[in-house]
This record gives sequence, C-alpha cells and structure tokens, in this order.
Amino acid sequence: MATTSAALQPYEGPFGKNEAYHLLRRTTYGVTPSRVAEAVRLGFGGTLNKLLRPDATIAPPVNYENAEDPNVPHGKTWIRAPYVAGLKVNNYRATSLRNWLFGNFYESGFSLERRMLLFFINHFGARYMDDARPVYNYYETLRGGMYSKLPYLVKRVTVDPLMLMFLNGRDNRAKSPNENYARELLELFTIGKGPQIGSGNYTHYTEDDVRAFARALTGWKTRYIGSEDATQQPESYFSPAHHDTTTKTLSAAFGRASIPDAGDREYAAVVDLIFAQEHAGDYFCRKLYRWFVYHQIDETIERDIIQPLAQAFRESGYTVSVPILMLLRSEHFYEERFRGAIVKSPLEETLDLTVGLGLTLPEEVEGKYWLLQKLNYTVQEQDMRLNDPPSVAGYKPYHQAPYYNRMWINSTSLQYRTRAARSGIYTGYRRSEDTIYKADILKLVATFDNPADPNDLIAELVERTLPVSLSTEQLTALKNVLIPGLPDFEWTVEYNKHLDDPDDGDLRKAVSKRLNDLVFTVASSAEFRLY
Amino acid sequence: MSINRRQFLATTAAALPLATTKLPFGFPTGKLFDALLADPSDRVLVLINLTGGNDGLNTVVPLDQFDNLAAVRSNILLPKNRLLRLDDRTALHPSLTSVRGLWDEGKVSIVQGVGYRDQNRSHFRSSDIWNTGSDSREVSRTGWMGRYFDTIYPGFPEGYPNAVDTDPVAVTIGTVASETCQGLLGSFTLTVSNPLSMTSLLEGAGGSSPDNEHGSELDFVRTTIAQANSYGRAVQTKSLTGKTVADYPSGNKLAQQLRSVVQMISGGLRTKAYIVNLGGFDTHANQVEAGNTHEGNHAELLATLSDAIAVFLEDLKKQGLAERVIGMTYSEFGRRIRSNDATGTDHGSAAPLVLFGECVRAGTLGQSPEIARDVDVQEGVAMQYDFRDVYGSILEDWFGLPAAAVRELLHNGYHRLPILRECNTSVSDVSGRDADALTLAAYPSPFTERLTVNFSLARAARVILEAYDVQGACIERLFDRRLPMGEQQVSINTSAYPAGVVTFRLQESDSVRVVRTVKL
Repeated sequence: MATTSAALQPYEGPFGKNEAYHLLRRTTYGVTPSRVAEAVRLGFGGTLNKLLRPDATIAPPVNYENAEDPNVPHGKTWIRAPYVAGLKVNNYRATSLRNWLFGNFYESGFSLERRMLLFFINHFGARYMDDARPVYNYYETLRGGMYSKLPYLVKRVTVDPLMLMFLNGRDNRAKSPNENYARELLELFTIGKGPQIGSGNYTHYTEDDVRAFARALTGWKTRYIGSEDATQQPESYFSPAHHDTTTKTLSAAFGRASIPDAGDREYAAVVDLIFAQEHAGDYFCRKLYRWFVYHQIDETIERDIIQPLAQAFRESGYTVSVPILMLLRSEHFYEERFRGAIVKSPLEETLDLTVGLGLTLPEEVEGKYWLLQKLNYTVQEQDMRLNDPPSVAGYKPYHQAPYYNRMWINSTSLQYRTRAARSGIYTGYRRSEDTIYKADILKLVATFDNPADPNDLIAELVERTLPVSLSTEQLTALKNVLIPGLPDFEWTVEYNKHLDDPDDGDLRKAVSKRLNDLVFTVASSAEFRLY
Repeated sequence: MSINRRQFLATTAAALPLATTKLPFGFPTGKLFDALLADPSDRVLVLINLTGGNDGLNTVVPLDQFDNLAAVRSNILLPKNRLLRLDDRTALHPSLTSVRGLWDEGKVSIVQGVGYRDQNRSHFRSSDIWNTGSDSREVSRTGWMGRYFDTIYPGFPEGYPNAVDTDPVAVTIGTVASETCQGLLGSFTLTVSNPLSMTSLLEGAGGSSPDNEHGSELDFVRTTIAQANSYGRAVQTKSLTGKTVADYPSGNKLAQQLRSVVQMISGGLRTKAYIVNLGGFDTHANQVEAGNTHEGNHAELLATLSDAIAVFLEDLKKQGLAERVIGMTYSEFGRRIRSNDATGTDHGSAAPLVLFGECVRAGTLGQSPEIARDVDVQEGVAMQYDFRDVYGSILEDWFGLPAAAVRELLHNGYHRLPILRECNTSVSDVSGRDADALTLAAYPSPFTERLTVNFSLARAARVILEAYDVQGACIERLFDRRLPMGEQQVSINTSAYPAGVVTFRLQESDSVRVVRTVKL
C-alpha cells in the first residue's frame, strides 16, 4: 500500500460535537442532535464504521393512491407487478417512486448509503423513463455501489435496462452502431476526458476508441418493458445477431489493445480495459473530493490528496469505500477552512428545514407520500428533480466549473428557498383543514439545554443549524428578533410562564411566534446556505 | 406622423459636418450613424439556447442537395412537398411556418454552417465553448457576454447595483444562470422566473468572513442575497408598469419565457441581454415519427420555437419596441449528416444559426452545406463561419464595440459578418450579399499525395485557406495572407493528411466557400 501523504494522514484531534456535526452533515441528510450525540458517544472510529456499514434495507415504494390496479392492493409494493391492459397503472407508480426516492433521503439515518445513492444518481445521470419497475431496480443497483468495486458497478450499469434505454444502448447494433453510451462511459462514468491533443484525441481516449467501444457493446437489448405478464419482468438480454463480432482495435491511450469477439461478456472486457489505464481512478476521486470536501482542486490538492487517493483506489481494485474512508478520516477533511465551504443543494436545505427541525414523516402511508410529494415539488422548482437529472452529466453544480455548488444559489433559487423556509417554519404543508405538517419549533426548543435563557437558546440553535459560529454582532441581531429591545430576563419570564401553563393558547402563540421568527431569521442567513 | 428619438437624431446628424470622418471601405455608412448617434444602451439582445444540439439539416434544408440527403438520411427525410421554400437552394422545416412568415417580412437572417475549428462532440464541452466564446482548445472561465460586460462595468459585482446602474445587466429566465454572462469576478445575470413576483430576501446582520474557503463561499452567498434583493426590486417595480399585448400560446414553454422578457423590456428595464432556453434537441432516437417524418419530437420543438419567436416579435412591434431588440438562436452543435437506425441523429459539427428582429439583415449568409452520397458515418456539416464572428458582429454592430475590442474579447482572426442592418430606415436589404465572385475548387478528388486548389478573388484581399478532417478538426491552415485579384492556384502536399473526407475552407472577409474532397 502506498504511503499516505501528509495531508491525508488520519485526524488525531478531538472528536466533539463540532467535528461530529461536520462529519454527519457531509455524510448524512437532515442531521439531528440525537445522531450527533450518538456519534460523540461512538467516537471517531466508531462513527466512521457505522457510516460505512450497509444500511437496513428500506421498504420498497408502495401503492398509496390507486384503487384500480388489481395486482397491487393499497399499501403494497408494485415493483414486480405487471401492467394491466386498459389501465394506466404506471402513472401512480411513477409518482410513488419519485416520492419514495425522496423518502430515502428524508430518512437517511446514520449511514453514508443515501448520500452515495444520490452521488451515483448524479454520476450516471439516467433519468426516469417509461416503466417505473426498471427505474426502481436501477436505484437498487446504485444503492449497492458504495459497497462494491467501481468496475463491477459500471458493468452492472452498462447492461442495466434503464441505461440501455436512456443512452440508446438498445439501439446499438452491429449494422448501425450508436455511440451514445460508449462516449458517456468514457467521458462521464469512468476515466473522463483529458485535454484535446489532436483531432478527436482527448488524451485518455480518442473518437476512434468511442466507436470501437460502441461496437464492442453492440447486441444488448431490453424486453418486457411495460409487460402485462408477471412472469416477464423488464430486463436486458444479449442478442448475438446484433453483436459486432469483428475484433476492435483501440488507440495508444489503451496501449493499442484489441478486443476480440467475446459475445455477451465483451462489455465486461470493455470496462476492464478502461480500468486498466494507469490513471483510471483520478477522475472519480476528484468527484468524490468535490462531493465531500470542496469544489476547488488546485495543484496542491491534486498532488497531495487526489493522487494518493487515486493510487490507493487503484490498488484496492477500485473499491469505492477505500478513497471515501481515507478522505473522511483525514486531517484535511477536518480543517477549519472547509467547515461551511459547500453551498447546500435544494435537497439539503429542504431537509434541514424539515427533518432537521424535528419534523418526522407521518406514519400512515397516504400522509407520508403526500408530504414527500410536496417536498419533491419544493426541490424541483429549484431545478433539482431527484429522479430526473437535467442531463447525463448530472446536476450542473456538481460538475460545472468554475463555481460548482455555488450554482445552486441565484436570485430565483433564493426566493424559492425563502418560500420553503416559510412553509417549514410558519405555515407548514397543509394537507387538509386539520392536517398540517410542520416542524414544531416550540417542541424542538424544549429539548435544548437551557431554552429559558435567550443567549443559551440562540447559542444552541446556532450550533444545531449553522456550520460556523456567529459574530457578537450577529448574535445580538438574532436576540433582537427574539426580544426586540427588551432585557434578557423578559424572555425567561415569558418562556417560563408558558412552561407553567402549556395549555394557555395565547401564551403559547406569543412564545411560538418569537421562536418562529428567530428560526426563520437563522434559516435566512447566508451561513444557513452552507455546510 | 410621429418621429422617434433615433429618427430625430439621425435627421439632425445629417446636417452635421462629416467631412473629417473617414468612412471605412465596404461598410454601410448607416452603421457609422448608428454608432455615433444611437444610444447603444437601449439595445437588447435575446439569446435562445436550443440545448442538446439541433439538427440543422432538418431545420434549414438544403434543397439543392435534396437527392443526396434522401440517400443518406432517408428514414428522417422531410417530405419535399411539405418544405417551406425560401429560394432555389434553401427551404425550412414544415413546422417553421411562423418563421417563414417573418422571412417574407425581412426579419430573419440565417447564417449557414456556424461552428468552430476542432469540433468537440461532447455536449458539455461544446456548450462551454459556445457559452464562453473560447477557442475549442482553451478553457475559459468567463462567458462571451460576461467579458463584454466587464469592459463596461469593471470590478462587478463590487459596487453594483448603485444609483446609476439600478437594473440587472442581464436576465436569464429560469433558475440557472446562463454561463454566457459569467464575468471575471461574478455572473452578470440575474435569474428570474416571474418578473412580476420577486420575493424579497432577509438580509442578516453582517459579520466578518474569514480569508479561506468557507469565507469565499460565504461572501458569495451574501453578495448574491444583497444583489438579488436590489435587482429584484428593480425588476418587479418596472415590470409592473410594463405590459404584453400579444396572445401567447399557453402550452408553449418558450413563448411564456419570451413573454416575461417583453414584460420587462416594456416596463423600461435597462437590461442588455435576456437568455431563454428550449431543451430536448438531443435527438439520438425518435427525432421524427417513423413514416411520418414531418411530425415527431423535432417537429414539435421547431413549432414551439417558431411560434414563440413570432408572437414575441409581434408584441414588440405592437408596443413600438421592435427596433430595440434582436434575437439569436444557438445550439452546441449540429448533428451528423447520416441518420441512425433509431430515426435519430448523433452529435455532429456545424449548423445554421438564426437571427431575428427588425434590425437583422434579412437573407442567408453562406452556402448550402454540401451533402455527398458517400458521406462518412462520422461526418457532420462543415464549418463555414466561426461562431465568434457572429458574436463579434453583434458586439460591434449592435452594441457599438470597436472591432479592435472585439478581437481582444473573442479572437484575433475576427471578421465582421453582414448580419445586421442599419436600423432606422425602411430599406430592406435582402439580396446581393452572397453574390460575390469568390469560387473554390479542388482536384483531383479523390486525391492521394498532392492536390491542387483553385480559387478566384474579385478583388485584392486577405484570404484564409484551411483544411478540415471528417470530425471538423482543422488539419492545417495553409495560409492567411493578402493576395491580388484574380485566379489563384495552390498546390498542396497532402501526404500527411488523414485518409477520408477532407474539407477545404476559403474565407475572404465575410465570404466563405467550402469544398469537400476525399483522400484515399
């Protein structure tokens, strides 16, 4: 194993609440104080172990609103249920799947799995298509990605029915090759594009390689998409008649290797050839770095962080968890300068405004999916459709230089974020006259160490919701929202009065309003947009 | 009859002594009047980004190549009898009826074969190239409009908005800022989804920001919040006094975006550029309906585009704003000449680009693309015009930037293209601009070790001759020099040329000729 560079040496400082918040905000969603307390109790090593352990299987998506599907009763899953002639059963399934996907992140738990699920959804870029069943299967394949070796995952994805549909792999035939998948396989899924050094030569591969790989991948098809027969599940298969059996020759970038005909195993040879390249792990490690640490990779970071990560990654046979663990336990990761250095995605901010403020999903299935649907709308209007990345390259803020994550923030998205904060804190999500889903700030504050003291109250709120501490000036401004121009004890008096008589509606409302204003102000701060 | 401000100034100007002003040869004199007199700050550019790579050959169809097109893309070939004919050589897709109407009114300019040297067929890289206006081999972090704005608002965003510059410099409709407007230090574009309802944001008490990674992100968010509020107030206040008077089709996504643009222009917002977006052009499969090729995904997209442009111009005209606005479509690349088996087309090279408005110089610039019967599966449409020359001509003729500055912002080899016209007369200059005597021939074809190129010049001029390979990469620039009038012959050693399709491109000022040959 390579010697670890100084920058990647394991973190040896204290692992207190601050470090636990930093680590959990970067690895899970909607961090709660109880999760942080558990991490502190487990310690540094114990926390990392727990994060990397496979998560308990999430229950599959269910039918929560359709009364017509004869095969899928209310509350049961549809993931293997056939289509039904004359009925449009896929419509409710598509909605169910989208909301279920959001639920994965809402209930992310103490595990890295869900964050890596989104990483791979972004990495492979396939969007929802046609039949919800293969889309669900695709997500489950990606979910396994963080526990596997990258070449294995790429092979699975290469012949995945959804991917064959999405990038026209099923139209890729010996007589008319379609190079769409082969191109993205190289450019986006594995080694990435290097500098263009000649006509159609991108250093790591050439246009001729794209065509050669496309020919090697010919013959894969999909069937039973939209099938009405339960024994015919949507799947991919290999059709020898459409496979190009000639030997494909690659450029110098691949040592002029050739790919002899290998029928239905040829796609695996393609992936292995790609990962045989000396620097096959660099591109992926840069992506991991941007996902977990910071968007800017200068020469120092490239040399001291990326290259050692990529080398270890390669030596491990491209085991996905290896570079992740190296990063998360490194001195580098815990440096002060990176805390609060990533702009939140709409998903992250929405979850911080709901589950982060103590709102749990309703138990009953309609309510649960209803709320998830509302939250899906909230992130969609900020340009983040979870099951529908805008392009095969994924969401722009995860790949577009020079600003990366900053691209989530602009005048329009800030307005939507402000509205989402209003919904989360003031109005709630109103399902009916009597059913409103909303974070209960009063209840949240009751769990604080000393909520009757305005200074302690604000300090704990800041610790729980912001990645950095605030200046005295900012803290004073916050106190002025809670108790405008009043001495501190006025808050203590008011809050204790409410505690003495919690059923007094007027008292409750008065205290509650002040708290909501306080939390809304914190949630509107620039610091709240960072983690 | 009322007289507008610019007409008034133009009339007055006619009486001014111009003897000291030397008119540049070959340039319409009206341009000079415009540059001297019109206030360029009230001019607006609207960019329509067609994302995915639009199939130019099924948008502007080369009628003179129709038989060969039929041979190489039969499964997506548009029925000839449904095409909307422009002239003997060119016709439009049947969905473009509204654009055809605008063509008759002299409001459409088509530039053939717009692309760049060394075509890159990645969506992302090619979009970056188009948005930044960079050479395809260099990575630029600023947008082409952003660099222009940096010359007017140095130091932006520091100090903006202010008492004088209250309005956003550019507006992107939607939720993602267009990279065309990325400046050195920040993006010049505000993003707006509904100009009539801008939510104001809470601006917290300040605090210092540390000089590190966290601090730089924090500063970014703080500045964005402050600017969003200030610009947002300007957008909403002015838009509320604006109006739209045309009938925008509700199901047309692009028309709805352009409606917002009119609302803002009409309200007096002094924004120079608006960027709107129509996606879905990446038609690898099902570009057309099989057997019914004038329908399908691409047909619907083009109908959306065409109807949106028409209603937009109609509204501007009705409100007397038409002479202040020009629009341009762009897409990251055209598609392959040969279609694929999925009734679609793959990533290609150059494509036509459309400008529209009262002030464009109507007509087509450039040749019909040459379609060979033995077209290579990798072959895209050859480049005639460098996309940066289109950008540059807009900066020069529309925004009044000196040519020297354009060269600095875009590229040294900038040639001004006749795509805009003098805009305060009723003269419609639709003919004669492509009638140059420039000719180009290459023989033998196919060739092996040597090849001869013949061309003739109608005047002594600076001429560029380049050779391109099948993927749109420049094999070599043979020369860039001044030559005398008359017949010219060049013998070229082609032993190092790659086998396959080779295209020679000859440029003299705004005239371009392209000839396709094959090396054995």
